[in-house]
Amino acid sequence: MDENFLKRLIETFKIEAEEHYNNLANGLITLEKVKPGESCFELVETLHREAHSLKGAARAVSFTDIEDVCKSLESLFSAVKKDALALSKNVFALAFMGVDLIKEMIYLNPVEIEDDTKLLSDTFSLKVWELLNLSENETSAPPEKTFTTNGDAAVNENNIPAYLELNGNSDFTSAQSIPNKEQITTHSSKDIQLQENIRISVQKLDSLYLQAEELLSSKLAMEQFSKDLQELSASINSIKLELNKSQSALRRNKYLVERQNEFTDSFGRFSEVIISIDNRLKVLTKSSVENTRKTGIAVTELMDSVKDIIMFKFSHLLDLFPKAVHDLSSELGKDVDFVMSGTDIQIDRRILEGMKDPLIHIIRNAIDHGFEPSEERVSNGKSPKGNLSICIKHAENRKVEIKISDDGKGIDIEKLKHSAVKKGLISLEKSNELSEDDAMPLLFVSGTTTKKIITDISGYGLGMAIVKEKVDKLSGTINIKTKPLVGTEITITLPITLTMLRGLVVQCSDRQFVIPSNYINNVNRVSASNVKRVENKSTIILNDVPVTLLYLCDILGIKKHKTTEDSSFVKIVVITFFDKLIAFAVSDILEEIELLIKPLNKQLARIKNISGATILGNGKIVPVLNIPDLIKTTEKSFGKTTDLTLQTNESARDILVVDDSITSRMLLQDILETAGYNVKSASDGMNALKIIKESHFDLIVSDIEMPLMNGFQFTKLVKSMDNLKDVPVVLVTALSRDEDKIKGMDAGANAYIVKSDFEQSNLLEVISRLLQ
Amino acid sequence: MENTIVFRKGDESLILKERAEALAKPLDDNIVKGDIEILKFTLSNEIYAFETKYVKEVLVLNELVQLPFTPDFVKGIISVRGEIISVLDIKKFFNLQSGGITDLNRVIILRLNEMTFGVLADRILDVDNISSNDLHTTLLNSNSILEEYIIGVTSDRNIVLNGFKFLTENKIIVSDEL
Repeated sequence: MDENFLKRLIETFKIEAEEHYNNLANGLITLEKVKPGESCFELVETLHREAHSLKGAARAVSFTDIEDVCKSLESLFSAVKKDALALSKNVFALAFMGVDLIKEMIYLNPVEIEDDTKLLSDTFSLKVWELLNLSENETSAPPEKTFTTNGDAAVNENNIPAYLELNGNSDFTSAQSIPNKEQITTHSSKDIQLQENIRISVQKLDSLYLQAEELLSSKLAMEQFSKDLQELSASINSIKLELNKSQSALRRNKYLVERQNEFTDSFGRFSEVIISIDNRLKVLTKSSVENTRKTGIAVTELMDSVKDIIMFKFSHLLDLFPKAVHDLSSELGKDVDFVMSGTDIQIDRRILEGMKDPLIHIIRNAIDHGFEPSEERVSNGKSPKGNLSICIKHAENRKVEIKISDDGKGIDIEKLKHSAVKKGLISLEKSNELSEDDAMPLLFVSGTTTKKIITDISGYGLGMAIVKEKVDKLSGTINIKTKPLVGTEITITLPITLTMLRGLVVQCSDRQFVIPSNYINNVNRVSASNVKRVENKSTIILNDVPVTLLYLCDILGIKKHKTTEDSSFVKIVVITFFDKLIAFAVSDILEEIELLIKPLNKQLARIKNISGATILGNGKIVPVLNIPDLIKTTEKSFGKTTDLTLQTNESARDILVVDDSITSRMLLQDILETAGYNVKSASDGMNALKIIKESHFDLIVSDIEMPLMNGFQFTKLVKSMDNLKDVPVVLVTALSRDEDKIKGMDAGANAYIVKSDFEQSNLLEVISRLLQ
Repeated sequence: MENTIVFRKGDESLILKERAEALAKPLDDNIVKGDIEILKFTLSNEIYAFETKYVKEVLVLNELVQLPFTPDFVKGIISVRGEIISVLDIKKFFNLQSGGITDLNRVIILRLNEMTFGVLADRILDVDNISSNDLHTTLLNSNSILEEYIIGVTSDRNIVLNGFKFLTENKIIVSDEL
């Protein structure tokens, strides 16, 4: 066989196998929920069929290990179908084992499968064989025939209408109210849902999408062009009027009577030219407007269809969840009932992809920290099983709302406040003033500061800062409601598609910038006498509240030109960022536009405070400001003065530096010693543990990638020791991926500083905070 | 008279050999012009060149939009048929004094795979073929940074820049985390 073809074939098989795996895993979970007495025949039938199909597919590409597992699964399900085998816990455990084995092997080529896995798969097959032989001796198998015919009839008659019914049912919550039955029917109907589909590579779609987007800027340019023509037409008109006026004035002027003929001729020729220009311009304008309108409609329609193509159902992502919840809750010894609704709602693939980690994180948090043990639940008057749900709904303005609710113990606000005070995020006095709702944003706080201090504030808060950051990036919002003992509800609202933001074009000296509208609270003009300077900061009073005022020119480092601007007024754009308002003073506020942010080229991989550029209708390029960055920049510049004082206070504290690279170790040591700390260093986790035992440290700074014991393991160990668990650990690392951050947090680190944004001041700031 | 020419056995192979040799000879053009095609341009009175295989196009500089928070050598961004492309000043990148009057109204767009950016030039001269034998590296000992980015200098003192190096060099990428 052609090698390339084989490669393609295996790729295709993997995609297919993944589908079968998902169906198997989800089917099993649904099956597990079926109450005794209810029929589960169709479900078992589906499972049987899935195993059978996967077996065939695996055989085609010679994935014999998967084939073998499927064969055993098939015989297991077939026995259940024939009522030769009761659905005992043992059977489920075995089936899940098989499904897990499949998952493990799908992504590997047969040669790559490890011996352990092979051994496990042999054990699995053996166990199934034993179980089946045992049961055969115990119960007599009922006649096979009647069941098969019954089964077929069930599939043909019951499921199709059920599927149609569900499809036509726009109210997903009602469909969800009878979870077991609905799930069973949707499940087995999957095979019947035979729309005509083809697979297209994501790259091809993306490029199509970009091209269509490109047309959008042409459309905007055409609109501008028509507008210009109309203006031109208007000025020609005013020339015509002027001309008529002059002509009649001329006629009335007695002194010019003698030379009137001369003038009249000249005027006549002049009018002729103007009139012909005017006529031509009118025709042009008319056809331009007409064309713009037509193109506009066509482009919008094209965009809509292209957007539609890249829309994916939530189920694409969420189909993985029941299995994940099942695994995690059984791992943590919790009993959780998990339901989803609205998974048929569609959303931009890029948003769905971006939401994967945040959703998994929230679900993990809920199971891990949200649910109390069964006995405690019962004593609180709740059902022993925890209820967890993801509910997806359409919201206003082409938005989608994802609601994740649990009926666990809720977030402990007092603990949250306490932790925030401990971390130096707010003062004790301020924390006492905060109401429960006001304290909630503290959960996200590490994202607002540049300090990247990890908020291990209450068990629930782990990584919420990262979740918030992701949601922000997708122009969404996140809201948390919690009640002690009742539970927690997290609502995430996201746009259905990513494009078509709006933005405000502002003038800053002689330059222009765009501020994305989703950050803008309001636009205002305040009297200059309203600006007060407090502690080096300018502030203004807006609705009786003092708001920090920043001059955009200053922040962006743009020289101010002497202008004729009216200096008695300040034009401001008020930004909302988290719970606070910040006012930016600009030279002028120009217009609000439909914003199509274009990425900068690769040479400019990332620039501070700029997220991209947009092209206005007149062809002008305008940089788009990155508001979160901008806020961080301004906070940094304010923080500087206070830092110096902190550093001197903090001297004579002992810090341990753990890093396998001698260069980084020396660099860190140098930075910290210059700041007045006593520093000792270790080359890896093992070494560090030895040193810790010998002397006392106030703080530990550790690398992640180290031999023998990596930073995560090291942190975990430190945090598990009674005498050390309160010593703050700062992870300094080159790993900037979110999952690493989460890993770091899960290990119990107090801060996580990525080397690429590793600036001395940042590190020192974090350290002095942690040592407070 | 006999019209047919009778060859002796050895002749046939001799002729074939001659023909083969003639065919194997490079064309005269190539001998003169060499194996590297370059685009020559001026930068404050000096002549520089890029290999044409890295040059995507040459544009007249119209609107250049400056960006805050970028290093000196990034002069700004332009839009090339809707694509945003940054424009660099290589003299600034090398920290060279810019002697003489500069005009800088042309942009040479360089591209290799995903990487693309523009380089400012005063004037575009022409496209030329040079031979790699004609490139001298011995002349270069003045500026060590410059040396890394140069393939060589031709005998008439045209500085041939290393387009590949420019396009693959990490130092040229601006990646500012906060």
